[in-house]
Amino acid sequence: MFSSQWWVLRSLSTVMILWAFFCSALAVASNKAVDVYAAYESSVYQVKIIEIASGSQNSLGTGFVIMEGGVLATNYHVISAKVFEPEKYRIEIERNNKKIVLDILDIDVVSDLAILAPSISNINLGQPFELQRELPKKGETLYSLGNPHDLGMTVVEGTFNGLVEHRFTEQIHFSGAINSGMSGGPVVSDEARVVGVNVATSGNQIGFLVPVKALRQLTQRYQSHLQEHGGAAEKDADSIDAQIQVEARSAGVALPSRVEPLEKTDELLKSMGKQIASHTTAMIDAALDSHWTVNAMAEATVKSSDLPWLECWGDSHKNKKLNVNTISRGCHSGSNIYLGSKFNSGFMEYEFLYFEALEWPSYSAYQYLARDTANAMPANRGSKKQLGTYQCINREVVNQYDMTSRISYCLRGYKNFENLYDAFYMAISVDKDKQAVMSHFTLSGVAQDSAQRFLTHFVEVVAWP
Amino acid sequence: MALVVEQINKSGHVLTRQRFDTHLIHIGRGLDQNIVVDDVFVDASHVQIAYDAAVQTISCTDLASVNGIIVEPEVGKKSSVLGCSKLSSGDILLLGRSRFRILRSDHPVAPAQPLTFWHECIYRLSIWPVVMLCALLLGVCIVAESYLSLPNTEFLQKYASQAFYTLLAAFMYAGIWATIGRALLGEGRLVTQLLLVLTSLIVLQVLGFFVPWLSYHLPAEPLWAFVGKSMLAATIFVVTILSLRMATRLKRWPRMLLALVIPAAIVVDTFLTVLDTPRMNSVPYQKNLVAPSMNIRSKVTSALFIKEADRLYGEVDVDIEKNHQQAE
Repeated sequence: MFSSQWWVLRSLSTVMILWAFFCSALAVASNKAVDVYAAYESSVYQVKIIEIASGSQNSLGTGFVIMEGGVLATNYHVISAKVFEPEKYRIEIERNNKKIVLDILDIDVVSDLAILAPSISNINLGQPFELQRELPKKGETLYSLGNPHDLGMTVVEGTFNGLVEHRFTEQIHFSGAINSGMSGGPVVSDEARVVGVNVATSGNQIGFLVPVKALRQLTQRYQSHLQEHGGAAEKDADSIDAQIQVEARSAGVALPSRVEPLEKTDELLKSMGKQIASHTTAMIDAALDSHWTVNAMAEATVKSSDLPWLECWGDSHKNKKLNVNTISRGCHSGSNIYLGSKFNSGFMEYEFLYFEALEWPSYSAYQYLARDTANAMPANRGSKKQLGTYQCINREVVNQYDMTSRISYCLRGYKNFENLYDAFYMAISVDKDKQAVMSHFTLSGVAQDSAQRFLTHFVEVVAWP
Repeated sequence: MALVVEQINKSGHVLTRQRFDTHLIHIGRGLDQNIVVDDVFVDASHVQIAYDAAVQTISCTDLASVNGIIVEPEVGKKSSVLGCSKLSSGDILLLGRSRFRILRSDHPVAPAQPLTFWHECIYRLSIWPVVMLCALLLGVCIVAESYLSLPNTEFLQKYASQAFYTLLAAFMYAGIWATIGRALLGEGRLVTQLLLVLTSLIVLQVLGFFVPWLSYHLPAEPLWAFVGKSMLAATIFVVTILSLRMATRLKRWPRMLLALVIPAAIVVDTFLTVLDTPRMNSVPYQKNLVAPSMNIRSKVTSALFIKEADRLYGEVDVDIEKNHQQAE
């Protein structure tokens, strides 16, 4: 009796000690969050994209000071509207109840980063954040700063969970609540060093960050660009757009904005086009350098790359009612590059479909297959303003394995990015009476050379053994 | 010389024709009249028509009728008869709601139409056995095409019902035109109408079978979508114009205009579809396929194809420049 009471007492005291320890740990953690917020509150801003004609906000995000002289970092997707229609939008932040108009200095469209600076120099936007050199340890606590849903500047505690696996473009997996409006906000360590930039979320405390490495590369690129061009990139304070100036005055804006020079916009677009092309070239190079495993698809063989970042799937279906067998498999490079609203690019995908209708007349088999493959579309979207129309060539092609296919190869260009294309390939073997293989790929945002290399490889990946 | 009185309907079709050797003809609702009219708007003795053989003149006298007499020498040219009026051979009299054409027996008639090969053909073919054969052929075509498109014996019943409903529609089409023809011309020509619609459906069915093959082997596949639509429009035009010719007295141009309504709608719709192509993400790649045994396209090696693909980039570039110019 006595011993059991003693045991209960002892367990209770243990629980109390543990609870006290836990509470103190929590207090330490939240204290750190308080410190981080207190130290850098004035260096984090809500970035607003304002539609000039109506004066209303188009999109919201977060930005933070990274360099002396008031250079701000944010996500590219926060300010993308300004890139394509510079005369329609302006970028704005608010400091001490005064509005400051920002210009875009440079963009890393692949990592989704942009650096901005006030249109008028000599404005101190606050103490710049330090960028961390190494990645934190898995499980380390990080603090994400941002302005979720326009509710006010917020600090969110979360955990570093390493880099997202199987991604061609590196991203950090952050277990914390990132919400819309926090995009472009810094994620800092205990020492308030930036580890990454808020970029996306898939809900349930799963957040994604751009590693700070990409931001460092972007700032370095900008600095070297500045050095190369000397004073050319310095701001031209004389070129003040009268309309915006009047507007800014009437709206109580302290510092008048100036019109983005046209050459700068063209330069940005040119640079973005090059970035997309070099991203897809790297992707295609990696794919072509990888081992392409031969896979049997009933009576045909297809080759598929074993790259870990390719998201692949497969399925087979025996339709007993119709006496038709199909086997399909395909791979996608995962994420697209966001370029604007309903406009994306920078990915590759390929797909195979084996079709067999052994008890059908040959005519019927090909009629069915034609209907089945008539609705293929590229997975990326874009508007008429951004993309040209597809032009195709159609040929009967015999590959080195003596497989004859009807191949359609279609291309369209990007109106804002020179020498950048979407390539669409659709081949269906037409040499067996009752069996056929469809092979298809889409390369979005590719340069001619890399697309041609991929095409040369892909024509030969299907065969009748 | 005698006088001929034809009772005609609104479209000029002759309902009755009577020849009179007497000099006076009385027309009215009364049973004692030479021509008894079953029309409540006609008086018991409505009109008297007199024929003077010596000077070869025809005249009509209104016998104090309630609704009077209207003379229509030409369609749309009406004049009322007050008391007595002279008539020419071929004039139409309107009594109440009845129409009579008054002719001298030597009134000239249109020369005989030459019996052409086609008239002979249509006449010889417009018999029920041929029509039934065509119906059977069309039914078989529909079932065969559906089956070849998706060969499953379980669906045969569905295919057969498709064929049945198509045939039913063809019979209804011919029936409607026959009714119109009977009303307007007094001749339905049901068998010929049926033959016409069945033949055209067979032609469309056969074209439907060949267009994919042609589009596969000839360049510009998207063009063949128009060719298909144009063939449909042309067939509808031909069928309607022939049906109109058989069932109405319409002249050439009104007939053409009427027959053009549906084909024009098809053509306009096709053009609008072409003009309104904002479907940015659809790719105009070749979608048709033909079985290897029917495939006569020449082949190229993959190396040659890749070279051709390389040249395609040049064409795309040109397009972008055009877009830029347009934007400017």
